[in-house]
Amino acid sequence: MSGSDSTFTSYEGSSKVKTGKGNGDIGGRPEDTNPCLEIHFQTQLSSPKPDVISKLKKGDTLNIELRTIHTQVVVAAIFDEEIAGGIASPQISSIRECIQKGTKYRAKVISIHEGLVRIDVFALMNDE
Amino acid sequence: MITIVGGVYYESCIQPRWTEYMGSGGRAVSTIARMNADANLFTYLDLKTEGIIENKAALENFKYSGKRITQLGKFEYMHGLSSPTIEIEQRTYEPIEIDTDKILCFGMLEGEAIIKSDYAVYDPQNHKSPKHFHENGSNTTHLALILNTHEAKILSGDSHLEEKALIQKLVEQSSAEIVVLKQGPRGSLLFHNSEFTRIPSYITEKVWKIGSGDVFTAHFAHSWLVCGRSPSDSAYVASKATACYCNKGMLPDQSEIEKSSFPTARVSNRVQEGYQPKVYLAGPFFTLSQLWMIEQARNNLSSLDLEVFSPLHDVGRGPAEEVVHHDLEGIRQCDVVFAIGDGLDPGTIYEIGYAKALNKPVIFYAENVTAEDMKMMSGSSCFISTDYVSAIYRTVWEAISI
Repeated sequence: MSGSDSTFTSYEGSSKVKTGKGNGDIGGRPEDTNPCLEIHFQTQLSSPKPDVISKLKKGDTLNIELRTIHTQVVVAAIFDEEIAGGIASPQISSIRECIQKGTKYRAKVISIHEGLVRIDVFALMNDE
Repeated sequence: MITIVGGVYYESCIQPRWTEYMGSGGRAVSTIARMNADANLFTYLDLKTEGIIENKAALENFKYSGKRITQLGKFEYMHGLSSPTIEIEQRTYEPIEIDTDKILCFGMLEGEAIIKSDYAVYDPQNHKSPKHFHENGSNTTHLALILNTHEAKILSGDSHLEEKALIQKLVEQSSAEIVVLKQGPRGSLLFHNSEFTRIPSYITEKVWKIGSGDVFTAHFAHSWLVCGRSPSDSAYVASKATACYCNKGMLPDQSEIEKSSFPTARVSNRVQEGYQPKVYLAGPFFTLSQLWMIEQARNNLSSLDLEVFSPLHDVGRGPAEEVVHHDLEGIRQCDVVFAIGDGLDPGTIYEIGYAKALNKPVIFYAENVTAEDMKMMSGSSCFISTDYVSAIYRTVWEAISI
């Protein structure tokens, strides 16, 4: 069993930079790669909303969306149309920009220990 | 409105796996905002973290102001009771100056906060060289000093004083009206109006330790400065709120604090009179990883003021006829057994059975043992935990109650 959080990422918040389609590909990034699609990391669900995360279970999928709270646009993890929490990662600025440009993101719940919810955040490919 | 000044840091823990941007200041502002109070954080922030805190502030409804630094500090823990590896810039930034009515102030690594206020709750948050509130020119009319025993000893400059004398010395040195000495699983000791009040801790099934001291201090400040409760009522509320936080690893709101119910951690008369409870540390010590685990448990139990009997350290390795009777005598003399169960070492299992036959409480810590293999332990009232910190805390609660 692997103890690492991600096949590619070894440090919190560092985005996983894919260098191609296959694990063995060590070449440079193809010219047509969209950097928004390359954002993929694991993190903690921050600012967790107890009423919502109490409904979560391992394997559930959350939408990562922009929501407006008191005129402030925030990046939020949404479950069943409710805010489950936010994302505490340096990737947050990139995600915000990419969502505004049209990229969609999801987060899969990979573990839950009471209020500690770890999620795997990834971009949806254009055809998904 | 309450003002908070304190550090925001990247915090991570390897086991259980956890990462957050918190620090004392970040955690305190989230704690107080969770209680639906207006909270305003002053801190140091790097550019990368600004967006994260901006997002949190909007989601949790607090205000903040960050003085720019180059690189945010990092605290990395192996587990909740380990000493963190700290990465911090080797420079001191210009102080943050604040003039306000009510403030919660934590010591910071990047620089100082110079405060002018009517009311201040001050937690030095420095294990190496804590400073008195007034030392940097800060002044306040009413000061509450909240700190743990280790910090209190360093701050007072006297490591040999017993707890009440220690507090009285801090009162003289700092002119604090209120002092709360945080003592982890043993609760806390409050001093106010020349009187001491012992505040209990509460026994929780699970213990998420990282940040629990910040949560206690933040709830005390909220209760005293925002709700206007007495210092002792504020300390009771803070202790219960901290239990909620430890049990779920999540900041509680008002309704959760009110509806939660935990047993009070009882401290026996003999422990109150100075008796140091004895714990027998059972576990295999054949490989480096096992030895590391024994060493961790021994250090953590000792630091929580238990006398630890460790067969590895106190008897050593050797043939059965030389070591076994010493080990069994150690069990007979102990108040409680902490057993490391992963690997189901036959010697450890024997020690557990021997201790249970003597009606000794046994805490069985194992992360990778099946329910079937733990049947005898669960059926004989051993406390079983897959979480290391929860198991250590349960050991202390058992030991101090006897």
